[in-house]
Amino acid sequence: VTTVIDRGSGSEPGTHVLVIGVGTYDHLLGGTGTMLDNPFGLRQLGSPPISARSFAEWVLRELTNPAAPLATVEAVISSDPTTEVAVPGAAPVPVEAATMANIRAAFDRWYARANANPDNVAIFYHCGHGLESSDLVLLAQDFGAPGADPPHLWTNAYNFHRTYRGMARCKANAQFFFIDACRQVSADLLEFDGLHVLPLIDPRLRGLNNRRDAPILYAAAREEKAFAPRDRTSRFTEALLQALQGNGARRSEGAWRVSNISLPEAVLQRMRRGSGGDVPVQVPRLDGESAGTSYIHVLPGPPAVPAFVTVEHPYPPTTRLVFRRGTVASAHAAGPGPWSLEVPAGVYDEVVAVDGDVALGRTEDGWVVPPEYTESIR
Amino acid sequence: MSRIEIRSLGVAVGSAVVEVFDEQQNVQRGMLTHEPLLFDVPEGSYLVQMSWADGERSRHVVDVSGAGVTLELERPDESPAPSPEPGERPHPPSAAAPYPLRPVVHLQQLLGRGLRRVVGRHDEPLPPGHGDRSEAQPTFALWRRREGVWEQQALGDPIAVEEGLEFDLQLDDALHLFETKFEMETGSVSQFASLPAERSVVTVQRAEGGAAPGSGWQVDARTGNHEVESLRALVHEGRLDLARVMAPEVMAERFLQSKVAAPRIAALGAYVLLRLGDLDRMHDWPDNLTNWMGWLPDGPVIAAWQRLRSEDPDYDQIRSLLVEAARRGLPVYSEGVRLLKDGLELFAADEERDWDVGEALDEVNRYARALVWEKSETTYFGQSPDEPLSTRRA
Repeated sequence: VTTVIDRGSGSEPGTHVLVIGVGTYDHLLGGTGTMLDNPFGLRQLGSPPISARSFAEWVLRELTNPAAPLATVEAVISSDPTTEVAVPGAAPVPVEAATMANIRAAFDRWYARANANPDNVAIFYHCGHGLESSDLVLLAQDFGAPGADPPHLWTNAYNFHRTYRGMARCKANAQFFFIDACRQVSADLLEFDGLHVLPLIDPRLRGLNNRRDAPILYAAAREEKAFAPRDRTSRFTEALLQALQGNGARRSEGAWRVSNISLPEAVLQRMRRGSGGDVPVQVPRLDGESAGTSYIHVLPGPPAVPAFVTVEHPYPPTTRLVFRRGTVASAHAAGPGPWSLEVPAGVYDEVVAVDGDVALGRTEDGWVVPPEYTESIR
Repeated sequence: MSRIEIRSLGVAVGSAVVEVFDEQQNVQRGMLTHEPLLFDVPEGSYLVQMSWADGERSRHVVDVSGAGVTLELERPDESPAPSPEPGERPHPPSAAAPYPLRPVVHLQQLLGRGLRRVVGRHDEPLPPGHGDRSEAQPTFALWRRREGVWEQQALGDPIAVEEGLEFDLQLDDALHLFETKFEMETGSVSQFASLPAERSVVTVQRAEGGAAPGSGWQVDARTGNHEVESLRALVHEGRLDLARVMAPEVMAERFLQSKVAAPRIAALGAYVLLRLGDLDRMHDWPDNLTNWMGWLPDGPVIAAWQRLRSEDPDYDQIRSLLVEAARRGLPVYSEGVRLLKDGLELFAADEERDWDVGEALDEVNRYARALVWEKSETTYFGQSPDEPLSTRRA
């Protein structure tokens, strides 16, 4: 089990992060162990270790929350070769594999820390294979291992839905769940309902935390796939990180803050913009419950907002689109239009298309407000 | 202090959420109603952004000085009909689906390989006259639950819409299911979709990318109400800040207090409030829904979870509500099925007491295994309304 950092928050509120990434599956297609009789068509995955590492490293490098500073990061990632996580100011940390035993141990430690203070922020991230019927089941590296006692196909997997319900026992009022997994229903699993797959923590009737803000962001809708470019960060994790450090923020109490309320729309919009053409449609889903507003990250300054500016007719290829405040050009993009670019949130005096010194068209609405800016140049 | 006043000109109540941003992008929000919407602001420049019921946004930049400015808003390209008042059952134009319809019914996946050939046959182009019920097309029926028994009802003629059919249905106070029956060489199987409102619009279309193997028909039931569809769209798109403004204003005030007009819609609003944690704004309306609408399972489900999420839950009362919900049948909305199932599971797993919920939980699970969970309206496959698919396969 790998505790990447432990800054020991003690009795003070802190942010506690659990990262699970599973790319190698010993008993599925292409695995190194005894093949499962029916591997459900599931293969090794290139993206989850990269995505999980990206998420963990972003947390270590960027996550800022004065009300609950980053305290601990637990990570279990299955990959070949072993994944190393870069820690600012320290040597890279090799991370242990996401076997079921390691996942349970990491979860238990994470839960105990998150449960220590109601003002803690608990972040749960899982990237890997998922199967869904009534409940979503997420698979560990050793899913389908022979010789389980008693023999049980689902020993090395966990029921995420019931884990989420079980997390209502946790005192942390802010709980964020990011699930980057397919949610397919296999025809071979018609009788599978996930009911007998164990959660990481059992739901309980009594002593529930009724004040938790606990959004779940799923990478895909039920019965749908989640996609990733080969051996790169997945589309969902990429969109999640961009939203966390950018357009998922809103101005609140004098700072740009990312919350359970503002983050989902930004992720969903980025994913929607990223689909189309040759890129398969992938529709993330928001679920979970909330009781108010909880913050996960505070930005150091205005966030970058995706801007989409159209033109009625393309301008000359030498045209530039400029977001200008006074005489200062804060953002620009080259080309005949339409343009897509990232622009710092703010109020611009003008948004103008110029060719050399000649203004070809403009829009008077220079208010760039998250989650995105769309305008037409006339 | 100055003021921004926003008035609606012919805009349906509840059809826009208004956000006012200052130059630092601090925001105030409100719901546009028949009454003027007022924002107290210091002098300066502001962005007024409207999020309309159909998902579109419009923006105005205003400079505020002195006593303030008044904005009179009109949506010239779309003027939705007024929403029904409590007690009325009007017949406004169909509300658009709140988000792109997707091929959520994957028959091959759900029903197994035996259907592959049949699904392919369903992909054939529709013949002229969409109302024809040729062998290649599904057939339809309407079911009503009365005293625990499902009875078939007369189903009016559909109208032809692009690549499919549309049924516009007026329902009385009872659970209703819309059946789409697929004939196969090995027999038949049906999809049963719970009808989500007193006026429900059901569209039957070939699924997106209908030529691809495994795709088939898309059956989509929605309310005929703009505000409801707008709220559903906000939640669906993750626009929770706006949903938080809209849910209590539109759903709670407008529908939850309504005794008879729209109990299914009241339930939908209550699910949103439950999810957003606005428990106080629900008051005792879930109890009213439970008591006044003895046929609606969603009422006791919502009342049970309102209590479960309270500071001092009365577990005996919660257990009774959940068992009563299961007795009434399957909730109208998938979220209700999920909450009913989760609630009963909590009682079944309690280590301090045997709550005797096994029978109710087994009944719910029987349907849960056959449910198309991605649909917001409870939808499942089966041989008949009370024979879900898993029963047939067992």
